[in-house]
Amino acid sequence: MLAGVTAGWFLGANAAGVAMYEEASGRTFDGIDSDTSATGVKVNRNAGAESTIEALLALQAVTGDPDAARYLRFRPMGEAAVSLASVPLTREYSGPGEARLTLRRDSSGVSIDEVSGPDAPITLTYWPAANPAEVRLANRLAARWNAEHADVQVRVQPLPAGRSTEEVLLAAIVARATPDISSNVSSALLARLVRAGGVVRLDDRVATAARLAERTNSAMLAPLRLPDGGIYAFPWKTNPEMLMYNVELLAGAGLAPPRTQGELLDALRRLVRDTDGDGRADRWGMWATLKTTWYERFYDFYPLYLAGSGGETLVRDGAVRFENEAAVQALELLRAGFAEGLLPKSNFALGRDPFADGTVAMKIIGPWFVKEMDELKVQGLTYDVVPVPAAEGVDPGQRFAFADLRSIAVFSTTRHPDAAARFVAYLTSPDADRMLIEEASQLPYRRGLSADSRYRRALSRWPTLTEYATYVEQSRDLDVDPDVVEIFDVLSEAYEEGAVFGLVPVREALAKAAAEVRRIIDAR
Amino acid sequence: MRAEERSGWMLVAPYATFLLAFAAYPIVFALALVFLHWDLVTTPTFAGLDNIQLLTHDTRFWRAVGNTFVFLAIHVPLQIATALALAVVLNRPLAFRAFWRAAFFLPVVISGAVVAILWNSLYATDVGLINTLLVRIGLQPVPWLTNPSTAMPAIAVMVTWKNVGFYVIIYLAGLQYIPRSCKEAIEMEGATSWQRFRFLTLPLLLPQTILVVMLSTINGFQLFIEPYVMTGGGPLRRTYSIVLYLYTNAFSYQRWGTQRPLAWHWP
Repeated sequence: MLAGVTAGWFLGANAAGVAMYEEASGRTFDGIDSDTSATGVKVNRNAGAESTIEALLALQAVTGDPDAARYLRFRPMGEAAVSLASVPLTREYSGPGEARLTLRRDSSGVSIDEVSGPDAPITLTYWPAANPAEVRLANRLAARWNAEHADVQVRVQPLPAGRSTEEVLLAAIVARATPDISSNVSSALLARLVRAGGVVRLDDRVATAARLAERTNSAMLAPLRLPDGGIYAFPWKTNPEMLMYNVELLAGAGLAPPRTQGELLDALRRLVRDTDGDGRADRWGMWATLKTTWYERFYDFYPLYLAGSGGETLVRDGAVRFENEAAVQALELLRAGFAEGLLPKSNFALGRDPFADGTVAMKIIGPWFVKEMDELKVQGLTYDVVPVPAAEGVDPGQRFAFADLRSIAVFSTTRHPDAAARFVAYLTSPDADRMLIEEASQLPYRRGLSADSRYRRALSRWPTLTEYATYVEQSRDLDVDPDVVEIFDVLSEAYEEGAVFGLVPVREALAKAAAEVRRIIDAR
Repeated sequence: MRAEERSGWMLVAPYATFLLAFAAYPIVFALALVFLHWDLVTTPTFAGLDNIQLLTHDTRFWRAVGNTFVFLAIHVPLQIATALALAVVLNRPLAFRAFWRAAFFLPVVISGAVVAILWNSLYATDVGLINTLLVRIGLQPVPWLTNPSTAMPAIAVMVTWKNVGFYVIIYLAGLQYIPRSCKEAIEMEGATSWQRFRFLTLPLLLPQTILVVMLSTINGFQLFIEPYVMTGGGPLRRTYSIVLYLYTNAFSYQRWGTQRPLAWHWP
């Protein structure tokens, strides 16, 4: 949009009020000089190749973008500023029809107010995740936006049902049926979307750049930057995981919530029970699933690893980073748990949550589960959360939580990237963030969230959510790597062989996984 | 003559179109894919024999081939035995015979994913019906789908159960064709019922048995939805089938051939 308004200079939106680009001949004048006449400026009507080519290149770029092209005919109103010092804080523009546009300088850069003319409004399609809370939130925000912005109307369409957001969106790209905007994009998908040229860069668009500056800091953005330094999906919400525990079960066993992985193993030993006396355990401290689907490692190995790795993830700059003590300790803990029968080596019936029904006393889980517990309405279950235990001697300030970050992407198939960016900024405004907390018990990726008085009430609406909020900036997401799904599959094999079935020593399992991941990286 | 020719072409057109679009085209396309680096989204490039070489060196692929044969080794004999036994029983005068035939055929028309979810509950270690019964008769519960040595047999049993009705129909048809005279002859010779089955019924059902072996083998090579829904290929990749391997590479890793990014360099 700003590009369009700026390029209006060529068509007469300048101090002299003269079209510098002559539409009839295609030539462009050299420039505008200051002058002693009444208007204070004079057009230099020389029109050589240099000025003509530059102008044509600029106009071509601007008219190639429908959003920018719309603003090409907007004209500034009021006195022209002939020096930087006289540039006003607010500038109003008039466009075709009754359209009005106001640019205002403020602390976050430039704010934009637009009143549209009689021309047809833009329609944007927005796909939120298909769960009821997020669909409700999306509908409410879109309805509010539509009421405020007659020129850009948003249509909400929950993500089509499928196995995962990843597969649905990739299929949509192949079929060229992507929406303008989709939330719920994970980092596992992002690298591939970017590689396929499927999404619009957002840190260089006015609305999203301003929102990123308002909402995050450089440390929060650093891990999300792609190799070219760009942010290609707006980091929307995060789910830092903590160790949730059943207060009565731990107190009944005379246990304090475990702080270290040693204490966790001890707690597992003291919480395993055979309540019906058939010689088989039927109550456990924790449950680590035997499934090897890649994302299952988000709830056992990976958070235990991140708690002790000092912020190190799996791969960085094309090198394997997980062959370290933190990974060994995390796998050793799980291995001991399975070997001693402290972790059930079986699956539970579908649709049953063993934490909610008291079968297990602890669970590594993110804040979205708080809402689920609220909906399950389990009688007499009190729970609390503590940070995921780290290995002995890890400084609490160096403990990182695993957080499955979800972002909002603008697809490159959109015809209105700027309008879409403005809607993204709207979805991530302080007000929308408060609604996200209240409606979905999920946390916006926002700096200083836990101490921010604007969100205190919303956070305290849900038990333990205030504690979860303290980890928003102390978390690590998946590596933004195009092969991260396969890397997690490889780790799942190490988890099975090294921990669940104990077929090979933990170090050997990790070394094998590291070699396999190197092979994957080398092959690309 | 020309009119007849035209109507002939018109009659075959619908099926021919279907065949070309959904059988011939995919086969040719798949063959071409073998020689391409492609992730479906970016422009494909020629790969030569890279993909084939990659496949022959991929231990997971060979594991998947091995697993599929393990599945077939259990599934095919079990399928023949159960289908034949049921057909023989259902061929006798039996109360509610139509009901039984329909009942055994029902799983064939139920979606594979639904059957998988249903059997997931039956096989559940904690409260699954099968383990509840085992415990009641004093046995230890078995972690059917999470034990590497029982997972694939458990899936094979389930698939056999699902498909048995279809093969029963084939055998029932075969049984109807056994001439009455042969039965009378062997009875006159004083054969026991086992001898009658062994030397008359079984040999005369050979064409049906060959058909059952062929169809259940083809079916077995396509094993996918059951491990996909129930085990994800685990434990220890023991239920990782060939089609699941293909699916994972195509849809989870976007590896339609290892492809070198063109516009992006990933370190």
